[in-house]
Amino acid sequence: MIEFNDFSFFYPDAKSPSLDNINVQISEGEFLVITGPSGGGKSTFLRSINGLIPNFYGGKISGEVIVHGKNASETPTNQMSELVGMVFQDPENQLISSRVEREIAFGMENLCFPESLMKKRIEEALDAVNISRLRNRITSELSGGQKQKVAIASALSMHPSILLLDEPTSELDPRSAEEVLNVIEKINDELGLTILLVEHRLERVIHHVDRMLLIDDGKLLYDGSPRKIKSAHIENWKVGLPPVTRLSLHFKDRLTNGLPLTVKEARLSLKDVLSNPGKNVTWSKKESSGKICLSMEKVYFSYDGEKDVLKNVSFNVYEGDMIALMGKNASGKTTLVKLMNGLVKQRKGKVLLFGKKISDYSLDDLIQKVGIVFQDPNLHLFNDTVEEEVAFVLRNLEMDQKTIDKKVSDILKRFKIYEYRNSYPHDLSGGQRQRVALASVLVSEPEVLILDEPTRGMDYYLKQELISFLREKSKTVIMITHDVETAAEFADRVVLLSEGNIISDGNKRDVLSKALLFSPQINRLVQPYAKNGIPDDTLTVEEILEVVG
Amino acid sequence: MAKPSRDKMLELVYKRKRSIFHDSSPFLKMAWLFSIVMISVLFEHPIILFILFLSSFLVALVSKVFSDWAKVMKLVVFFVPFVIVFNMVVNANGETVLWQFPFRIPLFGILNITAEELLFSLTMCIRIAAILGAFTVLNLTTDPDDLLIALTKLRFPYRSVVVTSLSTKFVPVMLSDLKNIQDAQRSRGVDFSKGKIIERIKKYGAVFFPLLSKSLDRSVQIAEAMETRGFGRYEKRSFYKDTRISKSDIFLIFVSLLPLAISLYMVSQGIGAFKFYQRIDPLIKSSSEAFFILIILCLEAFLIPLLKIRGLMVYD
Repeated sequence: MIEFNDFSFFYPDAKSPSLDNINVQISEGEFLVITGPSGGGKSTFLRSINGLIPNFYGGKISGEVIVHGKNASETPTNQMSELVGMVFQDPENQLISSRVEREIAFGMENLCFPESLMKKRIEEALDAVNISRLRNRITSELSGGQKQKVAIASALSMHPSILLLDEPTSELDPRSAEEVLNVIEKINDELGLTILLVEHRLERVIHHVDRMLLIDDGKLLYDGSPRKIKSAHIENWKVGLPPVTRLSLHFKDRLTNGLPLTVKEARLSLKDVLSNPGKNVTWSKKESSGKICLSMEKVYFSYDGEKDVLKNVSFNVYEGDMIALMGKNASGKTTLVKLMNGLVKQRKGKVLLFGKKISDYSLDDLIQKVGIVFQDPNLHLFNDTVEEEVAFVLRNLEMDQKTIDKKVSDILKRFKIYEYRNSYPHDLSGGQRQRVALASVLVSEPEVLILDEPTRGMDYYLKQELISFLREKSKTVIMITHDVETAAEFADRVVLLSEGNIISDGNKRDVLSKALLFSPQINRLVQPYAKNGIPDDTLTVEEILEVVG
Repeated sequence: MAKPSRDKMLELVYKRKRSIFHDSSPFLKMAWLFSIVMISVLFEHPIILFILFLSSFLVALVSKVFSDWAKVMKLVVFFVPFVIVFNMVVNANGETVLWQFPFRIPLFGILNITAEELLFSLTMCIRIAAILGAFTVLNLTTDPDDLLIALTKLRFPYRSVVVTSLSTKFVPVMLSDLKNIQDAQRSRGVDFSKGKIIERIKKYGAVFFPLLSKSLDRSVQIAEAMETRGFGRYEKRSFYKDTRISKSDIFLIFVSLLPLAISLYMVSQGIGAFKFYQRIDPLIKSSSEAFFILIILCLEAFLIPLLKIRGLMVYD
């Protein structure tokens, strides 16, 4: 039983509260999803349940959080650990031991469990998460999804009654994410643990949970079953509702039941709408222009000289292409784009940028041709203010001050970080930092722009903003992404990579429709209605609205 | 000095393997290391130091980590000329002049290379090699977690031990962070190979701050993760897969500590002292010295067949 009574929290030196007068009661065995825009207070909320807020971070609180009769803010977190387990976002930074079994034992060792009990609990935990076969592996050699499962098993072994998960799937590819979420659901079902899951990609979890909390700007805006969101003012929510739910909102009045949350539900409740399309449309497939920007011919690449990360990759990027580059973790996506601006060099094969070898470019020329934004914004940021950070490339290219000022302020406004222009970049929230990093590369308007998972951790509205900016301002874009919905909205061309090979490359309508793993929700929704005249390669909400009027 | 590229960089981390030394108790490994380090501090005798080096060489060989170990030893070879030059400059002892600097250098006067200086430098390098070699073997063959348990058993406070072992674990992670930061910044036009010294220092600053902030983030996250798993909840902690010492381990620990005991006895008797200046001592001064050195050699050499025999017994 968790109880928030008028709980507010200020981070040290913060003027506005990060949690503002929260009142919630959570009963045992409930499965909750906590959602909301980036920087809205979701993680803070979670951390006040096991006392990390305020014990670990400092800051001011008022009100109280009672967890099983204990005041969480006054109990040291390592004491709360007997009651509350927690799994964090980044699989790299939460594993302590080098072997899986010992990792799971770590918590129990701290609590002085005897060896025999530990043995039993490790067995159970491995089973519960279904990773018995990993028991003797070295943790650093596991994949991201496996690491997260180990982290969950470690938390479970301590027999907590509450499990907190802070965006546990945000670093994972869709397949691994799905597996981790299934495990979480099973734990809730079978072991009856209370589960609080922070997640902003709702389409994956919303249909599993009993209850949804929406936290924005430190306030609790919604608390209730996701089945009942129909009556709330969800038009103003800054959350990424599942595409089918978003679609259904447009036909709110015609729905008899609640809003559908899954594809299956939507097929039923939108039956009337979908079987009578107003217009007869066929989607045009945008062809690539004939002008080659970048060409790769039979490229092989290897980091250690033994195992090839890329095998015989041949691939052209044409001017004006909007490419989504997709594939599982470690399929070679990042390596492929690093080849494009010479950060790594191929072992065999040819890479030509505008007809010239990359090594023939000077660095200044090269960065005007190819800009690359890496996944982790922290890698990019090194100046004292946001403004300087963004102006850095332009200064390097020796533009005059007036142009620089104008370009910088334009892009900052566009990305809604203008108000932070004089802040130290590392003081900003994760989402804001990401936008600064993006702006710092985008501002020089390179011929080919490469983005490595730019939408990770972004909420729906920021994604929309980014996509429209890219479509408007950039010439040629290659975006690495795990997010099928983003790919469907942004790209013209989709390239699928698997184990170093390109397994599919073509127009998004050909690659993404009727694909088993990579179909967007809307595409799956319309398949049975293709006979009624809805094109079976429809991919987005906007498109389907155009068809049904 | 050339900047080592990442693929050439040493990665002295434990890799899981099986060998007679890998499978030994961490206590035995620590006893062996302790004995080697202590003896090499006690003596300056070239033969004794060489025996110690030999011991770490043999153990590296039988524990199948020779190629990694050899990389570290190459580093030591790289240092030899520096040690010699340094000695030549600060040390003006020795009477057997091998070579004289052709002209006077202001401040230092006339520099000589003497046979005594040369031998002293080489001996010191062997000492470094012996100590470094032994540490390398321990690092390469011991799971940090096993070491952690062993150290805690020896009454080191477990909180400090955990933190130390964690910080070594994150060295390779930080190196890869560094590479990623340089990649990201090069993509924004920071050219690390161009510019005046001041400009270059600034560029490296540009790498340093992201690295610092990244490492800080990392440490906060790890601390959070440890805290939520009850780290520091009680003064003591229990151990899963406790390291138990078998009788054969105790025997081997005894064997590996015996040379140290003998060395201490030698020092107390004034045997085995070695002077380089003004004239090099004879390598063997007395029959008792020869006798003790031989015993140390035998003990260090015997460790290997003993390990082998024990290994055979365990596997069968």
